[in-house]
Amino acid sequence: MSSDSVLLLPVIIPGAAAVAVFVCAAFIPSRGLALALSISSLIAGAFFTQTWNIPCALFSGMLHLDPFAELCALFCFAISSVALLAAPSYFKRMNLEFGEEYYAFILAAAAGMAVMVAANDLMVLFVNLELVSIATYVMCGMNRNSMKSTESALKYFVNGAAASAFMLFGIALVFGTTGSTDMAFIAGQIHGGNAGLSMPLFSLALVLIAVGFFFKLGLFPFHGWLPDVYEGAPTPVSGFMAAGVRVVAGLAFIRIVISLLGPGLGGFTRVAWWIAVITMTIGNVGALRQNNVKRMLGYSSIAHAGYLLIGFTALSSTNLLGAEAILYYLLSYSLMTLGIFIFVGQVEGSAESNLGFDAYRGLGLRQPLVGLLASILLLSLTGIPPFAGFWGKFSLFSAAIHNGFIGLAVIGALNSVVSAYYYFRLMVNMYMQTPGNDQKNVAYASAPLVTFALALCAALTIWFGIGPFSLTSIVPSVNSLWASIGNSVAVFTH
Amino acid sequence: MNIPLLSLMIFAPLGMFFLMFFLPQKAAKLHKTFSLGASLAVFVLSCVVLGGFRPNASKQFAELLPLIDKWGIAYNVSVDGISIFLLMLVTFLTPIVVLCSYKYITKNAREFYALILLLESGMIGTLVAADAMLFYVFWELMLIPMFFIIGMWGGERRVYATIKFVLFTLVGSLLLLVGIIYTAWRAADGGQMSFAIADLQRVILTSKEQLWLFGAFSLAFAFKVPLFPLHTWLPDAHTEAPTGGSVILAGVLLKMGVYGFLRFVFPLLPEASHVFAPLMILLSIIGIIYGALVAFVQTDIKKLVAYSSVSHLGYVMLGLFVFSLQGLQGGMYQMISHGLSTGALFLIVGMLYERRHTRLMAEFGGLAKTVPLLAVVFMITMLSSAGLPGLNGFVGELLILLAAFSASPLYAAFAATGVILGAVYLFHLYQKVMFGPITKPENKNLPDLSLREAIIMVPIIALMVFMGLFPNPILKRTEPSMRKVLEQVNRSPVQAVSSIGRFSQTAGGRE
Repeated sequence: MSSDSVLLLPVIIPGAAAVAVFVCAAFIPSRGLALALSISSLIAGAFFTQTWNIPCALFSGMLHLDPFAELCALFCFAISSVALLAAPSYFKRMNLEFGEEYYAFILAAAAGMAVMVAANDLMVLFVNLELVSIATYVMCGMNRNSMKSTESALKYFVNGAAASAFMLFGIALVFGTTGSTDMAFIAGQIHGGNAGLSMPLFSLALVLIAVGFFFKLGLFPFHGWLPDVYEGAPTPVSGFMAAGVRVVAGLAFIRIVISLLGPGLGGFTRVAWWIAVITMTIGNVGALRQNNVKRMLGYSSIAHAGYLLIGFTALSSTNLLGAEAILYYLLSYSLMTLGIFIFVGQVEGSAESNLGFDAYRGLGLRQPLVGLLASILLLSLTGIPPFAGFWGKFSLFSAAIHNGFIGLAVIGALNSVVSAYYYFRLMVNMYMQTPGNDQKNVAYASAPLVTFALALCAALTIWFGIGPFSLTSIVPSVNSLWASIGNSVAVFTH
Repeated sequence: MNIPLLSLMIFAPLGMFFLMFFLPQKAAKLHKTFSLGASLAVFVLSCVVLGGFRPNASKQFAELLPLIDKWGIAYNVSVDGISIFLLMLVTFLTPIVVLCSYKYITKNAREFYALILLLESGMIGTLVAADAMLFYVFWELMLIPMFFIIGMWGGERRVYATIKFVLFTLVGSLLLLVGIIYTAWRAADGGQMSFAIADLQRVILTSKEQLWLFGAFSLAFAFKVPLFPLHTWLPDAHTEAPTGGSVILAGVLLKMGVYGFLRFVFPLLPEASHVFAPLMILLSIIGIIYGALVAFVQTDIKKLVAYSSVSHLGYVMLGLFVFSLQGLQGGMYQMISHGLSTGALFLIVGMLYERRHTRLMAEFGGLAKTVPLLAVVFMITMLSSAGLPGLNGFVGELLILLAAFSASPLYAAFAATGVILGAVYLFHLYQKVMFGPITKPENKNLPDLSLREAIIMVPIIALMVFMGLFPNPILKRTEPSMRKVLEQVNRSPVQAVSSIGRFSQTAGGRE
């Protein structure tokens, strides 16, 4: 086996397992087997990510394997595993006659995600983003009996396809102006002062690519699809979308912004400032008005995309703070949000019942352990120390303040207060409201695997907050990202 | 001999909080004994700290353990003259709160006592933190248990009250976070970051920066104090909270706001403190008089006591913002005695409520005949709160009024009105509840103080008398630290100006 193939094992194993699950399903229809196969392939993939620890470029620079990619890929596998664990119980309770496709699609998405975070070529990036997206379109519509689920899949697909088209058109224009889709090469051209890049065409190209990413991240003005899609999709899928798909889009976007913008960073920053402010405000105000918990989480994830953009605003060519903050925030956010979606999914009854805030009345007292886990996740989402969500906000604000965006940090802080209302509202219902007659029997459906997944999310939220894997350990991977970009720029300019 | 006493005080209640959940849910007696024992043990520890405390301005019992090198965040705790007696107040009131909840809390008692211990850990941590981020973590840690205590065991409007409390506190504290981070970046000045409060205090900020930061910091602290007009959460939270919650809220949590002013605002932002002093004094005086007047018209005893806190904390803030040793010392003394006397008033309201299940003044009357012991206890507490010479309330008020007078006789005149009004509403309350004929038949056969209630009240009353007669043991220990705060806040602006040039050249961020 050549060394290149060893390096690709983290992608090959889940990818092959996806195919294997599809094939197996035809002959041995066993969900247990599919689950075991999927989880073990993800674990194997995660194990081999350590081969990425030494930075190197593959396929003439199309993939840059470095500690950044290693960390992100590891994380994508973890998120995918948790999404796998959460699903069987949910699908069973919802009486969905689904086969093993769910596992296969999650695996395919995981493989795509792992490539995306390492991609250094716009086409590789695009193809894998499509792989992840298409897998998600299908999963959104898995609840065939539900109008909302179908609506969700259709809406996501139509909007997503449009966004992909924008992005692809942008990539085509980049290729037209620079003659390459290699990000490092393009970065070299930018830093080398290639005259052709000052053309409006190149700027248009960058805007189009950014539109694609803004759509995937759910940033204003491309956020409209998000609450509907999250509400309609089967809940574990919503969680996977929020925690997996959007997070990986964010991670890939860091690479794009750092590589492609260069001197254009100033202009991007000004736009990002406004979009961040508008997005978090729209998300938070929208979430305040929701009575459906899944919709509330949809809006709140818009708000979180807004916070995230604080980090992008604070990206600077002189310090790593912005990139570190984005990385830390994305990783911690995905844990919290996936956990809370799992929780909501287990409370949800058949035919989309028990999704209102009222359904949660007294739940925390009837089921103390689950209540505690959910409360930890909610507190972390609000940004209460010592949980991971707090350090995420801390590092975002810190980066913003250091790079001179104090106003943005203040607006972000005030937005967090607004978000406290709806996150605490769920806790108020869980602990402080007396349940009515039709709410007395609402319960979190205990299933060992799901509760394990939920506990894992909560435990990691605490661990990220107070454990050694906190802010400090992110630094090497961000450094490696900058180093790999810096090196490639140097190679092309000299 | 090197026992980490302060860490023990923080982590013992925290550990007990977790242990509580392993106790069987039904064993009510065990929960009570366990939490009482834990809080008493912490009290003993704090007594050891007080015993070893030297009356100088240095940071004592310090412990240091770096946590996040990159940000310069460390586990750094110590105690000084600003925090020592507030610390004692926390550890003294917590066992009392546990004890006073024995009958009141019937549902989910295990969780209640566990949360009280968590709260104690948060309060102690806030007071001993010598690192701004550590302070912030503990500051927020106080919020969560209080959110649940009010929301789960409170009165009818508990949900409204607790959400209001959380949102108001969070507005302040998130701006505080931004302020702390900004100050830390400025203090780092391009070098290694550090969140140690001592390092933050070294930075000299420009006037403009100080004004903005004053906004961020003082909003957080003024919400907690609460300073008029930010007090609106207080009557709701205090009234709806269970007795134990009210005692902690009034006894300790409000002081955390004042503590923040002493710890952060004065040393960090001396110039802005002077600029804003007239406004702060005006708001304090409005608070004193407004709180007293509103207290007077209340029909609900608990609301009356709640509004009296607005008035009393107004004195404290007045004492702080006249920038004299007398004022600071008076403010500190007033904080401690307010913690005792208002805590005791809430306890008595709780006792009355447990007997009659109402808090309306009109429902009582003539109780002095049926519950003579309670009447005596109530009388002493009421006099202490009104500031009768010989009891604790007098010392603080006198010092503050003297300080206010030397700043401006006008301040003293208005503030003294508050003293009179204070006597009016308290006597009015006492008269309505205790004297007069017994109009309601239910009041005829009320039980007098039980042994448990006597055990709760006797130490408080003993302290009230002791603090009234012998203020020196406390004042002597706080003086050096207060002197230091005074020096820091009166740092001459000339020094500041000379260093502005240096900083504006190297300031990291864009303006």
